[in-house]
Parts: sequence; structure tokens; C-alpha cells
Amino acid sequence: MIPAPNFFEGIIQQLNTGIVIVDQVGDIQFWNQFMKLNSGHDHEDVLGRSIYDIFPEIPQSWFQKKIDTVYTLQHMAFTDWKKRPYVFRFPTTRPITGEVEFMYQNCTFSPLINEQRKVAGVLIVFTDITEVAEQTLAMERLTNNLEKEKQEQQKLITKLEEAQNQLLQSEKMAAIGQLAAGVAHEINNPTGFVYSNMGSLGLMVEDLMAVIDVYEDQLCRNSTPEAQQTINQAKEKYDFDYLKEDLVNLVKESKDGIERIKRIVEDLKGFSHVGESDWQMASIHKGLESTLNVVWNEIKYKAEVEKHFGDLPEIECIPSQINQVFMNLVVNAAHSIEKKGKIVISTGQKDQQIFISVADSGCGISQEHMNRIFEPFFTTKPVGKGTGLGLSVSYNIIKKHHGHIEVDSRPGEGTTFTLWLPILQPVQVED
Amino acid sequence: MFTRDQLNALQEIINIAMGQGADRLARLIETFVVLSVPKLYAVKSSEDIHQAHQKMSEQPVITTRQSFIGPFRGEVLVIFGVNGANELAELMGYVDKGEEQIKEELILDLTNLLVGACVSGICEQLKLESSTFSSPGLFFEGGSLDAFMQGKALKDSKALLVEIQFRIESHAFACELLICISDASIKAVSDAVDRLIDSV
Repeated sequence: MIPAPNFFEGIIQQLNTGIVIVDQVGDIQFWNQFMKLNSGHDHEDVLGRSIYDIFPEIPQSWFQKKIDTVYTLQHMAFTDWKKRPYVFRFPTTRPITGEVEFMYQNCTFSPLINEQRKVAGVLIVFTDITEVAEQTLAMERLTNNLEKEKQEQQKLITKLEEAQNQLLQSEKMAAIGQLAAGVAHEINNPTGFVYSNMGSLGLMVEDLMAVIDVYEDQLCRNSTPEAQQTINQAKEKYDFDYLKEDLVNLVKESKDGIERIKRIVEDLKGFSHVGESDWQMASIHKGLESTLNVVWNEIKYKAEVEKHFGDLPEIECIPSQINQVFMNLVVNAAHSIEKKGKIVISTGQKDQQIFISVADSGCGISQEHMNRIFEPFFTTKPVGKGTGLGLSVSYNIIKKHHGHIEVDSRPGEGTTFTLWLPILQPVQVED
Repeated sequence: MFTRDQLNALQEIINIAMGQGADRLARLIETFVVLSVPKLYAVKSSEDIHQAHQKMSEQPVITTRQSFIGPFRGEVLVIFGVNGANELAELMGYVDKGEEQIKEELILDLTNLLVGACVSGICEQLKLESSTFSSPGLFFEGGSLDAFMQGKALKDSKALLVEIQFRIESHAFACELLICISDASIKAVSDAVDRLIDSV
């Protein structure tokens, strides 16, 4: 096949690629059919006119530097759609199904060298890269979405872990409760008969003393002086007067002791409330008293406890859980006190809500820790001392009871936690 | 790979080529350009690149790359500081500078200029058919070159490495070029060098 004179121009015209030739100042020397179809300007219209006039959107100093590069270095220059989506603002080649507004382009600027080996013009060739751009952009969106989803999932996993840990913690509490109730039950029986024996012993000691009194009375009147002296000597030897007095006291003290054991065992049972994980009407003061009894050992050397109890109705709650919260607050209060301090527990009612506040004279909570104290695993105690779960579990219990917790703390002066609980739960109580 | 004579000749050729390249570059951006005496290394592995390049290898950098294609064939790595070439935005015809997009396009533009100036100069001196070029691209950003190259075997790494530093003093700008010539064009280069030596 013999090429016709305009054979090569025909090829250039038919290329599905933009081809523009400009001179050193940017005047257009040539452009092909692709340019005409996209810009709407005929070849004859633009010949000799400045490219900056035809495309005012081209940044002139930047574009001119490209031309200068080609002229001065006799070297190519490039544009990349990722950095600069388009040089010529042509409409997108995917007007119906695409999402981008313009035709994305990669441009190459090459020198046209004449016979004197000088640059005679700049050949600008650009390809429509809209399809690739669409796909790349879609891919980027997809990657972003995946990344976002991954983060969401990570958040969910963290939440799940927290929930699981809280579950573990409450399981632990339940197990301890069960254990405590079991122990309490076992202690209860021997305590019962020791208590009753002590009662009898007390009475018997009294009777015994009465008999001794009669003996003494008769001794004084009827016996020989020798016998009296022997008896007095024996009395002195064994410190009978003290014995007599102390025996009664001992029995009385023992009875007190047993009574305390009984009370603590009762409280322990009440505190753990095995089998009582149901909503019920319960007295807050009773719960507080038994909680204080249970934790007394932890706080007795640290703080004196002042109680300012108001008039409270029974409230609808899960007593074992509420007691757990009390215990947390009271033990925390005791721990916050370094040497010797005071814990003030106040209660009261306001409208359909009651409040229980636990105020200590401890070290307080610093500002930076304040918004983290309800976070699971947040603790300022040394490793192994605190789980960091106490307050987070408390928070969730109170939330479950449709109440809320307020904290007021002044570093160095002390902290007050106030629980607010509704007297009755909203109708649809979740279990 | 190269004889001592060939390497000496190459050193001279590259010196001249770079001088011309820097001169044209200076005319283009109308600023005085300083360049170091090019250092040549015959590289056998990416290990050698570390050694050739210890000075900047610890610093975090932005590195771009561009290929040149022809009898003289290979890739050039251009190593910029983390600030890229922002200082040169105005010289390069950018009006609104400072945006991330511009920073990246600017260093690609500059990569193209430096690579063009150097590679064309070398081709001219060696009287080789001039190369054509791929569009420049970002190679990596952030870490040090050393960290990036760690454990990465450069393909075709039995190559000639030319290390040049460019500095534009008035604009507190400096960068470094590593011209890696592929194994395949070593013969073309050594033949061209031999022709030059013979013609002298």
C-alpha cells in the first residue's frame, strides 16, 4: 500500500489521543481531531492563537515552565492525573455512568527537533485516563471504607472485651457471694448453738454465784475460825472477788462477741443475697449498714464513719448489686485516705429520686484522671492492687438502675461520690 | 564490568555532561546551581547503594524515581529532604504554593528536570541515541532510604551508580541523584566509552 500524501496526518487525526503542537510562547501550531471534538474548536479557528486564550483555565506560569523545560533542556515534561487531574478542561468521557466531572489526563510534553537540532515546537500528547482514574478513585474509596469499617470493628472488639471483663467481674462477685453465703451458713449453725449455750452459761453463772453467796453467808455464821481462814486463804490465792466479777463480764462479752458474729454472718448473707438477683423493694439503709459491717475491717483503722441518714422509702432495685456499689465507694473512700480521715455517708430524697453520697477526706482525684475514672481497667493503684473495674462496674449497675453518679473532687481535700436512684424503675424494666 | 581506563573516561564524560546539565538547568530556573563532582560506583547489590550513600541514608527523605529508555537505560532515584522542593515553587512557575498536592507535583517536576538534564547530557557526551523517559513517580516518602532499602533486592542491580548532589544556594535547597544504569546497557556504555577513547 502506498501512503497517500496526507496518510500520516490521517493517522494523527484518527488517533484517540489529544495532540497539540505549540511554539515557544504557547501559540498553537497544530491540533488533531480529538482536540476538536473535545474542545469544540476547529483546527483553523485555533491556529496561531495562544493556548492560554483558548484554555484560560491553564495556569500560565506553570504551563510556560513546561514549555521552557522542553526548549531549554530539549527534554520531555510530564503531568500526572493524580497530582493534576487535567490540563485541558474537557468533559468526562463517562458522562452517564461515571462519577467524575472532567476528563482525567496524563500529558507528555516532548521537544520537536528541527534539522538544525534546535527545538522547533512542543508536542503535547495526552491520553484520556478517566477510566483508570474512576477505577483508582473507586478503589481508594473502597480502601477508605474498609479502613473505616476495620476501625469500627476494632472499637466493637474493644467494647466486647470490656463487656466480657465486666461479665467476668460480676461472675466473680457472684461466686464470692455464693462462697460467702455458704461460709455464712456453715458458721451460722455452730454460732447458733454457741450463742444459745452462752445464754444458758450466763444464767448458770448467775445461779452459781447465788449458790456461792449462800455458802459464804452460811460459812460466816456457822463455821470454825480455822475453816474460815482456810477458805479466805484460798479466796485470796485465786483472787476470788475479781474472779466473781470477771466471770460475769467474760460471759457477757462472749455473748456480745457471738452476737457480733451472728450479725456479720447475717449481713454477709444479706450482702451476697444469693438467689436475690431480682428486682425488689429494698431498704437502702439496711444495705448500707450491712455493707459497712462487711467492710468494717478495711476501714476501721483508716477512718471514722459519720452517718447522716435521711428519711428514705424502700426503692426498687437489685439489692446485691446496689450493695456492691456501696462497697466499692466505701472501700475506695478508705483507700484514698492516707493516714486517718473521715468518711461521711449521707442519704436523702428529692422528688422521685433518692441520693446516697459518700464523702471522704482523702487525696482527691486529679483533673487529668477525672474523665477516666469510670473507664474499665483504669486504676491509679499499683499493679496487682486494683483491677480498675470497681467504678466501671458501679457505673454500669447504676445505669442499669436508671440512676446516675456524680463526682465532686478537690485534689488534696477529698472526693464526694453521689448516687442518684429513682424510687421506682420505669415500667419496661430490662433484666 | 568497567576497566580502570573506562571508569576514568566515564568520570570525565559525566563531569562534562553534568556541567552542561547544571548550566541548562540554571538558565531554565534563572538561578545559580551548584553541583558536586559526580561519584561513580560500580554496584553489585543494593548493599552497595547503602554504602555509597551513607551520608543521607539516616535522614527521613522523599524519594522519587524516573526511568530513561534507550541504548542508555536505567532509573534515576532523586532524594529530597522531607520538605521536598517547596522553596522552589515560585521558580517552577507555581503560583499558590504550600498545598500538599503542589508539593508532590513540584518534586516530580523537579525530578524530571534533573533527570532530563543529567541523562541527556550523558547521552550527548557518549554520542548515544538520546533516551526517552517515563513519567516520574514517587518512590517512597517518610522513612530513611536505608530503612526502605532494607531487605529489598534491587533488580538488575549489577549496575553503574552515579551520585550527584545538587544545591541551589539562594533557596536553601539540596537534593541527591542516584543514576542507576541497568546491566543491559552496560555494554552500550562501555562500547561508547571505548569509541571515545579511541577517537582521542
